[in-house]
Amino acid sequence: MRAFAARIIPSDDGAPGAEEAGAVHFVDRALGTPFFKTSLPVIRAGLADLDARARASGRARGFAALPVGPQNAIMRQVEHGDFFAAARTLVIIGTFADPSYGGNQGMAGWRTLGIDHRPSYVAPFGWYAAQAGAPHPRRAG
Amino acid sequence: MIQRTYGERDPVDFVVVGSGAAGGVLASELATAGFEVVVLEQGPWQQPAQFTHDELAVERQLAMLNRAFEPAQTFRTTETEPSGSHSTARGLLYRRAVGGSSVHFAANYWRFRPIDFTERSVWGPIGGTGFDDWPLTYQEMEPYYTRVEWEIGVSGAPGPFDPPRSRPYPMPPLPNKSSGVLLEHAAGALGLHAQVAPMAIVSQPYQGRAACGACGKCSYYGCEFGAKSSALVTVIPKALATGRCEVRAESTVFRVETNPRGRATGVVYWDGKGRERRQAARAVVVAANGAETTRLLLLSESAAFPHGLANSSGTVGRYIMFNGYAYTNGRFEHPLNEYQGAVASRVVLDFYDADPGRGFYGGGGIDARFPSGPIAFALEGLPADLPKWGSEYTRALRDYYTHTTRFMSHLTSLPVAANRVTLDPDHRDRFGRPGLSLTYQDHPDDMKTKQWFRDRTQELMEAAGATRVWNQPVLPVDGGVHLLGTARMGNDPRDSVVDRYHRAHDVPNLFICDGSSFVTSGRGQPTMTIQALAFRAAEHIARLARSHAL
Repeated sequence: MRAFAARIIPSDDGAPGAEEAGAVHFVDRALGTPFFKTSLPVIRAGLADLDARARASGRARGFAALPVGPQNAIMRQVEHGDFFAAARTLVIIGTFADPSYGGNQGMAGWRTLGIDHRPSYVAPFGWYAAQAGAPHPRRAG
Repeated sequence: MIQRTYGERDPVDFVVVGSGAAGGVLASELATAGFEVVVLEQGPWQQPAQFTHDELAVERQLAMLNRAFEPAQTFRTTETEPSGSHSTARGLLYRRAVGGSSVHFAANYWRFRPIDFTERSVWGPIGGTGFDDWPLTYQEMEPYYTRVEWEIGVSGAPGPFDPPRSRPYPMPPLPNKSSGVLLEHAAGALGLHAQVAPMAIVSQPYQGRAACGACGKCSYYGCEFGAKSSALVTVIPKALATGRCEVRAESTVFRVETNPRGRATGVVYWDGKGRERRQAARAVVVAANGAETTRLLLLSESAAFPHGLANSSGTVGRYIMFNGYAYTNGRFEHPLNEYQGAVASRVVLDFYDADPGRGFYGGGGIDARFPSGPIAFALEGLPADLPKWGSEYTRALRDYYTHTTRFMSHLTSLPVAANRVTLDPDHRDRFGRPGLSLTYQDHPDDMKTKQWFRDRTQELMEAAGATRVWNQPVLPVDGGVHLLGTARMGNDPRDSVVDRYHRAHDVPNLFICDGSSFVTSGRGQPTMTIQALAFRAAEHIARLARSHAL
């Protein structure tokens, strides 16, 4: 699952990916909860299938042991299936959900999106509002 | 605050079912007028400090919405299909909690305009619909719109198309966002007007509440600052402070009781432990939202009211309207940081009126907003042709999230009798109550309205200078958060449920006041009008009670 997550959202040019965000910690926990547990069989079967495809290539004992290129080739083989959709959803939620769920560690996912995470913000919001000198009624403390 | 409590057997003056935008106002106004009021709310009583920014719980698992409590809701598009023929992620959506859906709304507080109340006379009849005038006018409503703005706290500034107002807004607008600046620029280029979007969020400290902290979590979230002017932090505390109002949370009303003379005598409900309880009252006010009000009236059938209470017209549950929408997304060169600030800061209302030249009925407003949290955006927010995984996906997320906004239209929905909420005996809730079944299909003019407005949002997005423009497909409505029209107001008891003061035609001491009272849908943003109606109804109900005419 860790290797799959790293292929869904790889780190790129300094932007942390699913692995750096610890998305798998979220996935492990989520699959034990009522909201996500219906995905468990399809996730298990899908991960076994990734390993089987890796072995069939004759190059590795499992998906995780493959180099990135062959991993991506297998990802392309399965990207339209049910496993891929369910696992991708879990990886994305794990990367971008509140860190209290175990993923998005150190708010790594939010940093990749460019979010300056704070409990509140002071205008102007964004470049265009700053350029416009958007008037605002107060200066927040 | 220690609230006053009342015994169940001694009748109070009023029992109010529902503690949301309408129920909160009615409770506060009737208690302030000197009457004893018990409010029954089926959801829990949360405090602002309990609200979080947890996107997974709030937006994806809909933690406080009805569907988390009652997932068995069913949907179909026509009555010829078996109930529940289609699945929908939306359906009838509302919050179960003290404060109701006003706790999580986006807080857009447009007034209706004069045309909304008289549109049938101006436009003419529309085939296959119950399109009609309201039995009241904007002129009659104006003092109550003003009361809402000052009582709960609305930030805004007048715009070029506003109807007359008797008093300015109580406080200045929230800061303009980058998307608002871009909408102004685009509107100017096309000869249109972007005006300040009025919001029920306080831009300055107001009545002991803190000013908005611009955290960016309004829609679907409760406001932990108490800056959003929900019923929870405005009219409910005011009602309690009178010493004449008790709010009972986790109290699920399932029947309005009536006597042989056809008068309401009180309500029966389940408390938080599932015990059956009663509350006697001299008059009953139902303000449970367009879906739950329907269920309660239909479940309150009796020998005297065989088709449900207040339903001699057969219109209870019919004519449901959600307001259509359609939108265009755009990415810009520089960061917009739309995750900060309130939902919308500017709105274009040039296309509010329907125009016969378009060849169909429909109108609306267009605002700039970006409602996607990080999870939602990563799952479904990027243009469809971009990669969905891999390095290019990571790069797209980084390049788009803070640079993207949406121009979104908020539109009319026509009242169609076949579009309705009914009881579904095959899907019951945890109390054994029949579930809610929705039957809904857009009127052809509603689909044309969405398509026409999406062409306008696309033009605006291009005029705003977006480097990438992509449209949301125009989809049929399959539910929503605006639950309008299911106990419509009218002068004729044969085709309406309540009179112009929300008194049930069939039951002299039963009042029904919430989104269900709407005759037509307006152009989205109904809560302002729901609350203005509630202030107006409360004034009239108090007058009747004082003159012993209830």
